[in-house]
Amino acid sequence: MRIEAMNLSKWYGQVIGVNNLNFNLGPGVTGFLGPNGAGKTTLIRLMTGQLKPSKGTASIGGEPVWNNFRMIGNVGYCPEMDAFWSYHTGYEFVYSLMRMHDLSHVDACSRTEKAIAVVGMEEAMNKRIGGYSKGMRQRIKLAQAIAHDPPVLLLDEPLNGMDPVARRNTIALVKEMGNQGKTVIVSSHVLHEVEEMTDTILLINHGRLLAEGNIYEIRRLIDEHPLQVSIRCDQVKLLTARLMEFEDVLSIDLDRERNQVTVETNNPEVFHARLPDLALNAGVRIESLWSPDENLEAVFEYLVR
Amino acid sequence: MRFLIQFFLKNGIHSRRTLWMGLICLIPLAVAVLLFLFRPILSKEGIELPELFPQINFWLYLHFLLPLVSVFIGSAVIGDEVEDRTLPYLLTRPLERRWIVLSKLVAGWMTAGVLMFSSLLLTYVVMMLGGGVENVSASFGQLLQSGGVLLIGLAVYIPLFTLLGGVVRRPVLAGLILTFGWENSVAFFPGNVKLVTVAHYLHILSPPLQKVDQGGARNLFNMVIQTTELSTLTAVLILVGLGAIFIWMSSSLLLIKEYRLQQEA
Repeated sequence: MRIEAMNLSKWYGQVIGVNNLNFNLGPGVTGFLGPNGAGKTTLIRLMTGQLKPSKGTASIGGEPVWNNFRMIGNVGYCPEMDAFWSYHTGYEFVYSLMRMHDLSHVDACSRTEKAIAVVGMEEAMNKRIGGYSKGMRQRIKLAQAIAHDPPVLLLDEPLNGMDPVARRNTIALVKEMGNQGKTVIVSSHVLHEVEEMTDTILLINHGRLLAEGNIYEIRRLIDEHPLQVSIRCDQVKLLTARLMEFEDVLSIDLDRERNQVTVETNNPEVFHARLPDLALNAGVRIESLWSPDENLEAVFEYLVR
Repeated sequence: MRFLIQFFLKNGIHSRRTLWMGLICLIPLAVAVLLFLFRPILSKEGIELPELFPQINFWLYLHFLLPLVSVFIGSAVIGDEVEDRTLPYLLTRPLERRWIVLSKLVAGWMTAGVLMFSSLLLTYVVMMLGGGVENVSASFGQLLQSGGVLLIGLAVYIPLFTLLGGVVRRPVLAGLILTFGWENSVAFFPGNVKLVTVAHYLHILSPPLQKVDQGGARNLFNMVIQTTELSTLTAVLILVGLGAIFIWMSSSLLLIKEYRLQQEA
């Protein structure tokens, strides 16, 4: 099931929440990435029909979501906000929300138990949510989002406050949902979290879509942005001397202790194409090569600058 | 809808607001107990306790508890979900938004009705016992009439204050001003202006007050508030109509209004 935004805008008086967004997302995991206040939550609330677009449309499966309660049944939503009917136990919370999907008592029980097991909350499910830790509350929110087995999942900062084990399990769960063919949207301002779940991202800032697609495609879009490449080799001094001859190399940082050189280039493709010949001709044995800034953090920082 | 009503009833029972409402509903009972304790003094003045029940019902229930409970319960119908930030869980279920509000209205009405009728019943028993055990059953019709008026009043006022909660920033304050500033004053004005109050139609349905004093100022007052060309049936129809309009309008709130729960991130 596809999620689509067409010229989607939302403003609150003079304040722009989301500005003319266009995207069409299919099955798999997609990350909504942006700093706090970027408009991610507004966008997710628009996509779940909680907010009415000021302009454009937000649709799921080709149908607008605003005031479309039947379509909303296909969506699992995990809100960012730490809000509950706090006297509920974890079980009652998920069960009650399942009953609102018009499920019978028996079905709601079985789905609740299954979802609670998936998020690893069986032991605490009969305790009041008011007594839960932040991580447990996150997991029970996730349980209510997945319990009715929706084809579309919108998870707003789902890893907030989770301990490392729960975080790892949740990341695995999100990936699995994506692999099952569900359309999963995960928002986060923590870049490495998103990076662990997907390499398909939408970069958002000030309500605008800065970039969309695979991280490497996005990297190509910003090819004027200098890329850092680190190389570890047996003759680091010789390699440094040769690299200094190239025009696209902007700066070089030599680390003799680690036999490592870090190069900043404004033409990564040419640099990578030329490097094997250079090493071969100079008789340099390259042990490893990596890009310290070829991750979402670097792309994000560059794009929002 | 049945599950939703049960769900909201359970939520309502656990809310601090309901606890406070329950305590406030004990005020008339406390007054009744005090009157019961001082009944020898009242008897010397020629006032029998059972005769005071219509007064207690009129002033403490119809003009104090009914608007107060309605304001607090009505403004909480959507307000609680917004304040507790639990509204997104409801809006992202395959539930017609109108049914969400309707279910909460029914749950609120039932909660308020149980609180007020229980209080009224206990107050009635204490007041009637002041005149002897035989009075308890003799004036039972008066109790049912008073209780019925309160339930009708709740059915009109609660959706009115739910609606008010959707259009003003401080619904409790606005509700209190509307009830104690408008309803509780204009309903006593002579002339036709009282026709634009809900309280006026509730007066028509309420048990008469003239038992305490058949003549003089009290009787005149009774004539001012209750004398009208409208029949009881007309008053009921007007209240039903008003209730239906307020219910329809308040249940449309979630269809047309969006709620911001916090600064959007």
